[in-house]
Amino acid sequence: MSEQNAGSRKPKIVVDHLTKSYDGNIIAVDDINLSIDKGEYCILFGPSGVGKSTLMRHINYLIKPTKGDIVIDGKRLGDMKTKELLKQRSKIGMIFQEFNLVNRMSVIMNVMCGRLHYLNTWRSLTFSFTRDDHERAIDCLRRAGLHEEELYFRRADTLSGGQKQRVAIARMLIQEPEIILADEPIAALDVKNQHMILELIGEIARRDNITIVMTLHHLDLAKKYASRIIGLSEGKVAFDGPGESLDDAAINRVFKMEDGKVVGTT
Amino acid sequence: MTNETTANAVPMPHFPPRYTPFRLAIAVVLLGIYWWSIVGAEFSPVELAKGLPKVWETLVLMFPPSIEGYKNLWVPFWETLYIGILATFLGSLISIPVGFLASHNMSPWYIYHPVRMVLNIFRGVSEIIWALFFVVAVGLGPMPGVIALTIFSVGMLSKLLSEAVEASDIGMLEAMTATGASRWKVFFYGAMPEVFPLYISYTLYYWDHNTRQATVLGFVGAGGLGVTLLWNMSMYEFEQATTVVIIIVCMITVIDRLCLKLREAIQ
Amino acid sequence: MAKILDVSKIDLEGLELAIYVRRKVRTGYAILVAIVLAVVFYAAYYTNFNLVELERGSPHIWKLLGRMFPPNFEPLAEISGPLVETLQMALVGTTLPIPIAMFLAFYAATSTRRIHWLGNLVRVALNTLRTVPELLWAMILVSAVGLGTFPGTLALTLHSTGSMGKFFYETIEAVDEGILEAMKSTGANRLQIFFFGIIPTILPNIMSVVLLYWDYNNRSATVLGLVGAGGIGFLLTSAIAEFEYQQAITVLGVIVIILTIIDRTSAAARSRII
Repeated sequence: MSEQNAGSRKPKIVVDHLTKSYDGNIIAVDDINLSIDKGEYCILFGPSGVGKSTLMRHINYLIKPTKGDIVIDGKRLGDMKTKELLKQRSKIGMIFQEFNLVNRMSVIMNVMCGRLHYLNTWRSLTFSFTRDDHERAIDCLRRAGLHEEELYFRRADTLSGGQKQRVAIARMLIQEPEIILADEPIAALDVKNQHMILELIGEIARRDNITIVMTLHHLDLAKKYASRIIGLSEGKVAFDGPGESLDDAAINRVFKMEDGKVVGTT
Repeated sequence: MTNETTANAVPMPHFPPRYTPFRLAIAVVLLGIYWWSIVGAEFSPVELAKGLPKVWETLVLMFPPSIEGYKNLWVPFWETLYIGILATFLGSLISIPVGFLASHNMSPWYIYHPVRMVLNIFRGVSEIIWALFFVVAVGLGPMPGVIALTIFSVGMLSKLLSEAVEASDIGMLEAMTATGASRWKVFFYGAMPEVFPLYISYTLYYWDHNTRQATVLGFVGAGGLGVTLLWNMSMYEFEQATTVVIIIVCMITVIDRLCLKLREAIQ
Repeated sequence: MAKILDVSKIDLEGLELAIYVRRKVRTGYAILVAIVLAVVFYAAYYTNFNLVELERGSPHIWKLLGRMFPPNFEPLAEISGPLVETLQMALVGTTLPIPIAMFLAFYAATSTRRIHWLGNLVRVALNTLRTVPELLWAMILVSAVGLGTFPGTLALTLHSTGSMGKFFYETIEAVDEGILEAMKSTGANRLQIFFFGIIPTILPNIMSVVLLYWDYNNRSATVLGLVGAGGIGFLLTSAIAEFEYQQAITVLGVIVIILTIIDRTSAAARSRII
């Protein structure tokens, strides 16, 4: 699927010879090249500690690469000035395994934090978001499936796990993202909520043709929702293709199970 | 434990001997240093036996407290209280941006290293010495006292705040950064709400501390009850001095209680 | 930051409700800020602290700083004696209060005390010791026993006993009831419970607070010389009183370096304990 599109239009995200090493010897990401198109639902999988999260955090430059770069809409992030980078980040929404809401702030304030990039200095210093921000926040909370309004004014840490992730999704939605990064978004949730959250993310992405990059270790769910699956092994791409083509042999290759020797030859 | 169970269970672990020659040697050296310190501090039992009766004599002289001239105490009393409030307010306010600059997860190394160095100096010099310095520079009165306590509070509170910020959850900061917020906004929205209760409790602690120190700043001419006290002591008016001490104890106790209540309110 | 607000009784919804809540929270903060600012401005007015005055004083501050440089290293020759004296006073003034404060805390804590009024009396005594600053104790003691390190050490001891005692009894009161009950059920007496149940439980807290007060007392000990209670403070104040600012800065420099080293040591030790 991705090969067909690559020729016809410009890719949304290009990962260009990306390498990240810590302390000069531990290599987390090893010379990865990827091209992700607009509207793709991309899932990264692989054993833990293989550089999935690291790769993903490069896309909004939360982590800066040792070598290589990320190119979004034809612009290299490494060449950007701080201001441009912040602008670029504001167009990339991100959700996390542990939700990362600010516990002591109300739900609606948490959502409005997604608009921080646009908030002027005086308003930021006094914690006063605009009327427009409030309107957007309520709209996004509803879109994220939180309809009980009394929840909006509770402290974020009083919510359940599923509700928290919905708030985090609302915070991401208010950014009007072109790309969604999701770091194990369902790992801390129960089975019922897992499906609902993935369903929700997929729905949002389809509506506005948003590109998704997600790390996920539930292979069955990955197969069900993803349009493209990328398997990482020891910082390199070990599998890349649509969900249907992910068979047992491919999984073994990524996880290096049973016939570990085969990996070196592919 | 009975014999049968021990026989079947794992053998007793081998405990290392408690008193090795090395440890004993360290103990002897430490005791030596300590004894040397006691002698240096003139705190031997002999000194104590000689000194304590004199302390008792003075205490007897101090009682009963005299309320003569209590009208002259109002102004220095309010002055002391206000020096404490002003210095704590200014110190806590200034310490927010300075604390941001001193946190290694917020500022680059070429900022936070020099800032911490300056904070070390702010903290390393005692408030009284700062007061002495500013009395020489700007003259007698409460103003040098306020400046001195403010500087010391900034040194302390900024350090404590930056430590709290550095210990705050990385995930929250990451989430804020990912929205495209600039660094100080990340600090304000990602870190401050979480460290806020701690920040308030530190500030309240230093209110207590600053007021306590404000009572002795007068010794170097920096306003407050200390001036009165110095005067009383130098005139051998011990009974009047007792009144001042009682006022100080009451004032600090009330502030301490108030701080406790405020801290509970913020939880 | 926003407080939990009960919005179920408010007959508004959506944006109107959000705006209402925002106004409510803002009004609350505005009132709070107004009160604090009123107190602060009155305090500034009363103590004659204003920016104009500060502006007028600032050239003097810079001038004074200018007169401190270049430092005169002459005092380094005579600094070692008073410096060692300062550190000795702080060491004794920190360690001696530990057993005294522990003993008093045993009688003051609600979970270990047996005589109610005695406990309250001890608390009042500890509070008095704590609230009087060490410099004030030093001054009273100097007029009682004369100049020297003895009144200085005693002053540090008295203040630290009060502070540590208060901290100790608060910590003892926070010890889990279960531990005490378990100890009681083995037939231990009160003293045994205290030594084998309570002290081991709160030992890390004790160590941490002792290190904190060691740091604090070192700093305090540097100024005790001001009232004649020994240590490096005398050297410093006499240098300033005689307008020998170039010597004063040298002494100050030594103090800052020593205190920074102690601060680091104490912080490192505390982070290992906790």
